Amino acid sequence: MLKAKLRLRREDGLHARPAAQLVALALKYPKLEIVLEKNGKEVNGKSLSAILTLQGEMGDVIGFKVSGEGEEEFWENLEQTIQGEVLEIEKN
Amino acid sequence: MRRIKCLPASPGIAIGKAFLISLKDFSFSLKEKGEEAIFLLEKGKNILRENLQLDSEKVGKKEEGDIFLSHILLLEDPEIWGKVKEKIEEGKSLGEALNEVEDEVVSLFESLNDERFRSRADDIKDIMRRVKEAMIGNELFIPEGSIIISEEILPSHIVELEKWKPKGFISAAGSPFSHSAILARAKGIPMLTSCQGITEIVGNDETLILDGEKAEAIIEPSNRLQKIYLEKEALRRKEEKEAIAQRHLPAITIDGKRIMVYANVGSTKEIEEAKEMGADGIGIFRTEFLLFQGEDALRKESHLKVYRMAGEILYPQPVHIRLFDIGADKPFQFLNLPDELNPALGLRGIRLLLKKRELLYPQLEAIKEAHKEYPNISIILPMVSFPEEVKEIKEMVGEIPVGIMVETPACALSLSKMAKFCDFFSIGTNDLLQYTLAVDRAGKDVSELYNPAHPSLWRLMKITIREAKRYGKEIGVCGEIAGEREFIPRLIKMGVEHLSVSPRFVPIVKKIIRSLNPSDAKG
Repeated sequence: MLKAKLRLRREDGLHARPAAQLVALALKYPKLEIVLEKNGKEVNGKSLSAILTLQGEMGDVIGFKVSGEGEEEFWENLEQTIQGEVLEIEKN
Repeated sequence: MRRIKCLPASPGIAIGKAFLISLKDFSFSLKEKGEEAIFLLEKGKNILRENLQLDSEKVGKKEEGDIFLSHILLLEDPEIWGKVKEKIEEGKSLGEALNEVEDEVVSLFESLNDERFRSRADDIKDIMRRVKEAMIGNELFIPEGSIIISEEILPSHIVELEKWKPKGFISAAGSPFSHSAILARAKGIPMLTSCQGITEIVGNDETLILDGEKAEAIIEPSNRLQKIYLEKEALRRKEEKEAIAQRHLPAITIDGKRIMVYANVGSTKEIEEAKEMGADGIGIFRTEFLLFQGEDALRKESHLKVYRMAGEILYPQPVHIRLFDIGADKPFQFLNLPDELNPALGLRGIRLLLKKRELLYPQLEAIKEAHKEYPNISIILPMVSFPEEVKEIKEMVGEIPVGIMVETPACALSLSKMAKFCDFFSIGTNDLLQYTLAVDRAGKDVSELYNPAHPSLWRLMKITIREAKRYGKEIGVCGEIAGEREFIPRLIKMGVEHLSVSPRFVPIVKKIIRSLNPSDAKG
C-alpha cells in the first residue's frame, strides 16, 4: 500500500488532458487499486468521469491510495505525468 | 433439439449461429435483458473501441486526438459501465440501463460549479450515444455467416444487414410475399418467415439450421444433423458453382427436350443481369417502373430508349414486353385512377389500358418503333380474361407477336377462345393461384393458405397446357413456382416449354432441367 499527497503544479490541474493521462496510466495496471481524494471525497483512479468530478485545480492537494501489483512503478510514472509536488509519501 | 415450422420466403439452406436483433421501425430498440444485454453491450463496446482507436490514429496527437483519447478512456470507465451492468442485473433492459446511467452521470457533471468541468457532460453523452449506435445500425457488428433472427424484418433491414454476409434471415412474423422476402430472394439469401416464437426460443450464438426446403428452423440440432446439413450446404454451393459455369449453355433434358429459361425483369439493370446469367430471353419485362417518371410516361419517347436497349442487349433472343400492369392499389397519382373497394378484382391490367387509352397508346407506339429495329421484341398482356381484349390489341399492333399472361381462371379455362389471337402464353401462377383459391397472397392473416401445391392450380394448368399445345402455341410459366426445385420436374413433365424466373435463378434452373428425364415414367 502506498499513500501520498500531491500538490497539483500544472496549470491545467486535473482537467481533461492530465486526467486522461492519469487514467491512461492507471489502466495499464489491472491488478492495482488506485483511489484519489480531494477534500474528503474519494474516487476510483481508473474512472475518468469520477476523477473529473473532483475538479482538481492548480494548487489543490490530492491524496493517493495505491495498493496491489505495480505500486512503485505506477507512482514513479505518475510523478512524471502529473508533475505534482509530493508533500507526503508513505509506503507499507 | 426443436423444430419450428415456418413459411419459406427465400430458398436455400443454411447452418450457422443465431444473431438476434430487436427491431422497431428502423432502429433497434435495445430491449434486450439479462445475459443478452450484457452480450450485446460487450459487443458494442468492442466495436466502438476499435473505431475510436482508428479515429484517434487518423486525427493524430493534436487537441482533437485528445478528445478521442478521453472517449477511449470513458469506454473503460468502471464507474459508468459498472453501473450499467448493475442495472441490467437488476432486471432493466439494455436501453433503459444505458439511458439511466447517462442521465445520472450527466447530472453529476452538470452539478459541478466549474464550467470547464461541467462541459465534460457532452463527452459522456457522446460516448453513450456512440455505444448505443455500436449496437444499433452503423456500428453494429454481426459475425459473418450468422443467421439473423428478429420479430419482424423490414426491407430496409435486409439492405442494411446484407453487408454482414449473413447466411440467412428468420422472422417470427412476416410473410413470404412481403417486400423483404422478395429482396432476400433477389439477393439469394435464404429466409423463413412466420416462425412463431423463435425470438423467445433461440438464444444468441446458438447453432441453428434454416431449412428453406422443408420450411423449418431447427434449434440446437444434434451433431449428426449438423453434419448432414453442412454436407447439404456444401453440395448446394457446388451445384451453384457448376450451374454458373454452364449458364450460357441451353437447358436440354436428358431425353433431348430444349426448355427455354427466360428471366423476369423490372428494370434495365436486371436486363443486363439476365444476359449475364445466361437467360434465353426475357419472359416478362415489367414496365411499371416507367410510371415513376410521372406525366412523362405518357409520351412514347420516354419508353423508346428502354425498349431499344432491351431489344439490343438480348438480340436475337426474345424480349416480351409486358404492358402496364396496374390497378387502383398502385400509387400513381397523375393517372387519376378511381378508388375501388376491390382493386384486385377491379379496373386493372389490360382492362385498365383499354379504358385509359392515353396510357396504352404511347407504350404501343414505342414498342412498334423499337420492333422495327429489334424484331426480337414482342408484347405480353397482363390480366386477360376475355378474348376481345387480346383481339383489340392484336389489331393495333399488326405484325408484332402478342402473347398473354394466363392469370385468371377464366382465361385458363377458355384458352381455345384466346388462342387464335395469341402467339404465345405464359402462366402467371402467382395471381392465378390467388384468384383460384380466393386468397390474397400478401394477406397478413391468410398467407399460410396460399399454397402452390394446391391441386386446383395444377388442374387448371393441365387444361391450359393441353389447349395451348392443341393450337401449337408456346406455353410456359412465369410465376414463382417456375424457379422452385420441388415444382420444376412436374412442370416439365406436364409439357411446359419455358420457365421465366428471376435472373439470379436462371443458372440453377437450367441445371435442374438438365437432370430431368420427363419421358421416363419416374421423370
